[in-house]
Amino acid sequence: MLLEVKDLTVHYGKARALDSVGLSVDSGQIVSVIGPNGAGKSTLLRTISGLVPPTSGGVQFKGKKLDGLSPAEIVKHGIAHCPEGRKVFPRMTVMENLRLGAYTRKDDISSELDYVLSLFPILKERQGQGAGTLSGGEQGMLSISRGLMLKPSLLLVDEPTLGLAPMLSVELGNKLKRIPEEGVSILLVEQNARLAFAISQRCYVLEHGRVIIQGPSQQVEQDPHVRESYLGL
Amino acid sequence: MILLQGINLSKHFGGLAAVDDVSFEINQGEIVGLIGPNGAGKTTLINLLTGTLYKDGGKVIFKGRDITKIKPYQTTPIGICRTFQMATSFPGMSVWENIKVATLVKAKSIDPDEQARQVMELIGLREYADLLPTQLPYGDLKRLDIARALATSPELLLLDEPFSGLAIPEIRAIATGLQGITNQGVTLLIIEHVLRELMPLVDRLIVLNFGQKIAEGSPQSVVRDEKVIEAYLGREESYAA
Repeated sequence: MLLEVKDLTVHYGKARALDSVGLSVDSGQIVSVIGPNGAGKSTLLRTISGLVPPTSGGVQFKGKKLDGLSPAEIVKHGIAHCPEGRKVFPRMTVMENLRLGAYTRKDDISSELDYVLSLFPILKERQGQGAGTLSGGEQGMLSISRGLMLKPSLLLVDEPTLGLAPMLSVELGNKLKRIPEEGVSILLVEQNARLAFAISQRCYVLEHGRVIIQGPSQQVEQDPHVRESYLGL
Repeated sequence: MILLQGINLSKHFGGLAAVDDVSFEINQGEIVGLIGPNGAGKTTLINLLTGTLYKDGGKVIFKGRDITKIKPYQTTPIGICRTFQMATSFPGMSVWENIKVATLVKAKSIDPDEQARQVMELIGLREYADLLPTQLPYGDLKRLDIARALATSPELLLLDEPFSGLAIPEIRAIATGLQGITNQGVTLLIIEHVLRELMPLVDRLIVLNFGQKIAEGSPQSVVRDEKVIEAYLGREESYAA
């Protein structure tokens, strides 16, 4: 098992965002976390990355506890985070953003660079351009690529399709689906449940900070409770 | 009887149509839910109703009177009050004082002490009267927000995510309070994402997506509307094998 989240509870001040969440990701998998707005999906990723301290419970990665480690240390363990809203460095060029993704690495980064530029050829065309001048979809590709430059074992991807036109979402979904071939597993947070079902092997449905449904994505897709958790009826 | 009417309301932020030609009505005594995915334009729509944002187009009619050009501070005296997503209170004042200060907007027509007492009773905050807001759990702070809005004797209460950040028992406590409010003749428009708890409470839903009204009707009919399902769950598409 690559990642194991056990009994994770998180509070923001007095409000409880996650309530005893358990989840695991195996090597070579895409695992998705879906659920309505405010379910705690982004909080889950932010806790795994060390950006938010849990109230109780913990995270194990490759058999090692990550409890109490700083985000910088967690990155060195091989977890890259593509945050909600992409958060590229707008005044740096595309190439500078990509190189920053590999900031902690001492080895040769040319094969990862070749890989992301072949996965998203548009970034090659735009490599000298300021990242702030890219379209939303292109910034999403850059954010994912910057994460991949770490050569991570696990990529956390938060709502990559947010604000994208449906056709671009499908295109991005198809690209994400190919990434595990490179030895990078993905924990994907998505609001678009139908996309998550289509590209992930397993799926967790989060509602109000709790896992209410989990299983193989094709099975979760058939569960009538999914629609109910989004729409309430 | 129609209490509030929004006609062809529009608001653009740069090139983004945050609210795009939205028309709707709210009837006296109704509880209406305003729902839609993240960024659908719900809060922006409320901000247009209360004059918090300038409208790019459209009209607002309240009790037959055109209030399109109203300023935020003019809304409470005519009977429209709102709450915000994050609970906010006067930190140096007790719960009692927080509520009483809101009654003063109507001090000419109501007895402030009596009004504040009734509101505290209705929302279930009496035992906390002398505490400071900082001593309350978040759920009670959200209730204090609603109590303060109610203390202004509104006819229309606009609530922006009254359930957010709360545990289920706290949500239920608020829902009970809201039911009590409507029994007193107050009309409610509620923005919410916790749909499971909202559905049993509302008479009608208005659904926004990308700034446009995509559906309207009873909870039962809205959740079966394919446009609504698509807005929340995504479109059926074909992906590469």
